Amino acid sequence: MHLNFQDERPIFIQLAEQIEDAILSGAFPEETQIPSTTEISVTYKINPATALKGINLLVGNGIVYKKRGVGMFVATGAVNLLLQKRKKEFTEKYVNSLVKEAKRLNLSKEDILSMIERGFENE
Amino acid sequence: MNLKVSVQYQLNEYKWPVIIFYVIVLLVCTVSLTAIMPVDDSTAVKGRFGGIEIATIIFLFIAGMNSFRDAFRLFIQNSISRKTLFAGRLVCVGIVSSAMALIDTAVNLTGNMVLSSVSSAFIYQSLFTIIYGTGYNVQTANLQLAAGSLLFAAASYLAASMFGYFITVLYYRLNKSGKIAVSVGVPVVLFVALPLADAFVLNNAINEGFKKFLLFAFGLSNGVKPWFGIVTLLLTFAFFSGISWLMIRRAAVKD
Amino acid sequence: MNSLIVSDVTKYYRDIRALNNVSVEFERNKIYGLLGRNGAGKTTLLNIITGKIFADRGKVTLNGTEVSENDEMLRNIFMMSERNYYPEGMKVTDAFRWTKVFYPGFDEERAVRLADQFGLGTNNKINSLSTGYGSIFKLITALCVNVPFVFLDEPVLGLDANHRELFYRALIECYSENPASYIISTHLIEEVSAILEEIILIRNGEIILKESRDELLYKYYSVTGSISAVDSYAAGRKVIGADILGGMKTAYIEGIPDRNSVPDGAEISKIDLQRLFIQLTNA
Repeated sequence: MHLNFQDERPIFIQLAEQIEDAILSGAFPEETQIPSTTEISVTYKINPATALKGINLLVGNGIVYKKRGVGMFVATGAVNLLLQKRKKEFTEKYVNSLVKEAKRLNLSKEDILSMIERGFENE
Repeated sequence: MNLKVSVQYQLNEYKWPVIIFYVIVLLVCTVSLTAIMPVDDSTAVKGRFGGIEIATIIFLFIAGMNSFRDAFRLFIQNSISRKTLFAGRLVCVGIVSSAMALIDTAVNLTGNMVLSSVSSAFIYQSLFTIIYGTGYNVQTANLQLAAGSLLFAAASYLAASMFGYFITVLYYRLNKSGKIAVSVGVPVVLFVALPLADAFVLNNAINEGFKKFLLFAFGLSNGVKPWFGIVTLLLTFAFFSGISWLMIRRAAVKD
Repeated sequence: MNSLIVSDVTKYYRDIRALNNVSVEFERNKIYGLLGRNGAGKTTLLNIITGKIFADRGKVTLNGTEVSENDEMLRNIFMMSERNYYPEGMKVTDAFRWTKVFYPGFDEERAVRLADQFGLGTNNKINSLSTGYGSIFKLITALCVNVPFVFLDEPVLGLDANHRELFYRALIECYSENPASYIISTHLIEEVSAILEEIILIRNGEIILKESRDELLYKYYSVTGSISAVDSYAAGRKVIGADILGGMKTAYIEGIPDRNSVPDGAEISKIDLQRLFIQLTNA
């Protein structure tokens, strides 16, 4: 569990993303508890206030909620929410930069499409 | 002000030294007493014992010289002010001086009883009695002598403790050249310069003047006035306490 | 209780002005990084705050009351120094006992537990500990003392990588469970960077910067590429430093990057705290 401090984006955003990844992969199932801010900040060696910021981001997006006196839990339907969000981001994050880099390398649309087909066969 | 804690630590620093001191004194006393127990019992006075107080004075002087640095550094580390450090020092010195004065006076009285029951050839006297005894009728003024001994002992212990403390604080504040200046300068002035001046120029004026002053300060110049001595000692205590505080209040912790 | 406030503190050592009109406010329950080069004045400032030495001008206050020589205020502060102020012959376990006497809130059980975790033998004399274990003893004391303002001067001096990791964990745990202000002065900037909430930079006895870590890092960036590409981009911008390797150059710039005017072959990226520190204190 590491954060890339060289990454452009603020730590709390990276943290939120890693927790989202864990939820999507099933490591944190819905309605189960996620680690406390203390545990998170100790593991990642970050300031607890930063960890709290990351958690609050997830709370704000409805991914995670607080059970008073107990801790933070993954919300029901979080997986779905995340899938929707990621699908939306997919275009911007992967497709657009793929096209840009392809143009830079002088690859045609057909080149890309056949590469993608091969990619799906290999996976 | 966290006086209790300040006193607690500084008093604790005296615990073992005081215990060891009395164990040694006890050993020395028993050894010397048994070694010189008389075989015959003629009534001529063969020897005087006394002045355990002198041992205590020397002990407290030396202890005072070791009482500043460790406590100062530890207190600063634990956020205790210099004011509290010094106030605690005074209380600690007060407690130790009174306690040891009580013990020593008790030892004197016991020594008196033990020796006089064994033989009247040996007399046990307190320091106070040795100095001021001529002013009293030794046979009848026992209570006054005991009280005087107690007060005189306590006052000399206070003075000795703070004189030693003063010296160590002074050396702490002095830089290297200052230390050399004092270590060399003071003995040279006292034991070389002044005596020389006395011998060749002033016709022994300093020596005589100093003797006169001492006799006066201790109440021995015009008859026997024991109170003078006690007051002088208390003034000495106050004086060295005052200078010590002036040197401590803005002292920086050195590395 | 409010912030610990340093006001216009100046300190001379003979003719050298070690601190020049330093003013800074330490708020409650924040982790600060006090960064500066060797000789910049960090330890002098900390020594004045904690009463080891006296300032020539200025004062340190808590709740409006001066801290200097005031036991009631002083007991809200604790400092872990590079130096060792414990008496010769005192053992770790005695030191813990006495710390409890001086600071009733000292968590002695936790201290013993931490000592065990770090492998610190509590029966050892403090003066006979190695550099690393000396630091470990002092940092354990500082982490368990439970006062509002804890100053740590070079807490990881001599610590191996494992112990350093252990320290950072212990620090975060203690901070989470018993919030307090921790002011850390260290030369190992990158390691501690993400733990710090606010950065204070001292240079030549003056505070040149006090900002939240995130905001600070947001304010600077670097441009890397061929010398000509970088120079053309950097023209007219506030360049705080540069590194050159052969035909490649990296310029460190203050401001917000303008991604549209970045020439081909040049790349914009973040600066980490340590690199930023070096550039800002190089002059």
